[in-house]
Amino acid sequence: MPDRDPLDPLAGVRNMADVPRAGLETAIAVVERMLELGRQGATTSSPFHLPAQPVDGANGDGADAAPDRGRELRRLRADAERQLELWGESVRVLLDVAVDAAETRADGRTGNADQLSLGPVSPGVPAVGRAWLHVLDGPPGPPARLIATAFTAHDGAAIEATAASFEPPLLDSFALRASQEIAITIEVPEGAPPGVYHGHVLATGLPEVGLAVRVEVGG
Amino acid sequence: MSELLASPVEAELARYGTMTRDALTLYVPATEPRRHLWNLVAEYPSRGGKAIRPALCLATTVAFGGELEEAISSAVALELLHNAFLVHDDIEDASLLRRGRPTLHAQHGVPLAINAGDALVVLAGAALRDNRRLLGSRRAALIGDEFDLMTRRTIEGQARELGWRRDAVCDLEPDDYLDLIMHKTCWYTTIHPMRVGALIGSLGRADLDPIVRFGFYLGAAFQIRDDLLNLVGDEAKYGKESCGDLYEGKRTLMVIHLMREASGGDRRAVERFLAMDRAQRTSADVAGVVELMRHYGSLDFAHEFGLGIAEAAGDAFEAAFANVPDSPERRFLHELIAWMLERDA
Repeated sequence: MPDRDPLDPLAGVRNMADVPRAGLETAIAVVERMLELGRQGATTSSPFHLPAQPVDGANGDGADAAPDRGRELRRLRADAERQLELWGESVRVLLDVAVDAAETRADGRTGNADQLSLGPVSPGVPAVGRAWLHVLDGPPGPPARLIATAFTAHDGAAIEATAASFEPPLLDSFALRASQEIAITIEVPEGAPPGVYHGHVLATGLPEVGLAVRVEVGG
Repeated sequence: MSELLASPVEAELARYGTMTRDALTLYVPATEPRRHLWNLVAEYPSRGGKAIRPALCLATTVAFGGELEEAISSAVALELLHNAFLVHDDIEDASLLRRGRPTLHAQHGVPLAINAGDALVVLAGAALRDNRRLLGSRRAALIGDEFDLMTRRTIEGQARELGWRRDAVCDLEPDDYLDLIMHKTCWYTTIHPMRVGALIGSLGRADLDPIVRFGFYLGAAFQIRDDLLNLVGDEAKYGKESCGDLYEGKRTLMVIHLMREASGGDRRAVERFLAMDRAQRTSADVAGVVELMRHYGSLDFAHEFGLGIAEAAGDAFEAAFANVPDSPERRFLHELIAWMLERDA
């Protein structure tokens, strides 16, 4: 093909045989139609330009140019954006924890601020509550399954771990430093002796996640 | 082709492909039900393939200044969606071979294959969600929008083609064909992977229009060549059923040209052929249509039509990568043009 002007996509077409020319003209019409469709309602952004850099050891910007300067600046921008977002997320988690603690105190509940208190309920009646779990660490991996320990009273009476169920049953551990609200239901057996039972909610694969649960069963 | 005989482009494709498939396997659960789901999900990705899409995405990311690690989840999501499309397409087209082996539904039945295809889509969503951790919410949202646009274009293109076949549509022009493959093939094969790579690498600032032009010329020329190989290529090297497009009644450029040029009894014969169900089309019917294509010059027409578009791909590449300095990745992308448009398998 002879020299072509990139601003004139049809320049090369004029020198083509009929069928290849028809192919290119049709293709240009299709793609420009598609681009026009995409432009409707679109906003423009500042143009992108990545400065030249050394390739295969050669210094593409002259001997005094800082090597890989463009890429370093670009990495700085990307890191800054991610860091700002992480700080924002950390502040959000801290606020969540503080507000949860304040809510617990406002409810007049006793004991540990990290503890979820359920009941009092009668035997045979489910104890239901909601809590926020904070995924502060742990490796990214498959979603964690929520499980409970047995709930035990001071005199040895126990409610089986299988009495507890959760909604959602899985915790998305891909979202590190995130919080997730869960609903917990404990099916208190008909024959459970009255008393205060203690247990924990745990998440498989996330060793730092643990929520103490207090269940009061009335007479 | 053996590893030793692979060209530099093929070696790079293999490197990007291995990287993507290794990351992809981490998203496939190693739990039950394996036999009826997860083994099926892993089946197509394990068969290899050219890995053109992830290679375009990863190389463009680095060419635009980004890091490979930033784009790996997007490349995985793209590969998972591609395999989901293949599973569902094979059912819709009643195809028998995929990458040289029986299609998933031929091996396991249609219901399990549809379910495995659905699972591939869900896993692609999980890979995309990891972009929030890798790229931050702003770029993750941009990439999410790109995936929404790509899936919509692809599904719209597929619907149009299936509609043409169901309604036995015959009065089509080359413009219809190019518009179809813009939606059905080019957007997700060439345009989308490079748009995603450019957005990741440029931190969302790249001008995407020149990439659409380059991606379309490259993808369209590639598809026309693929359609020709389907008719005249070596099935063992090509990996798909020879003349499978004709058995499926696809409106390729050759079919459209034949319908324009043939007259009288020849035209009526082609119309009858296109109105049949796949099961009714015999090898003699297919051979007859190929013979008519040779007679009316449809194969030569498609070849030359594609050449005009292929010629434009080189210039369009320079425009798309005008603000991108020389790098091994930029050179690989440039060399990929010739490799894609001159391949015979």
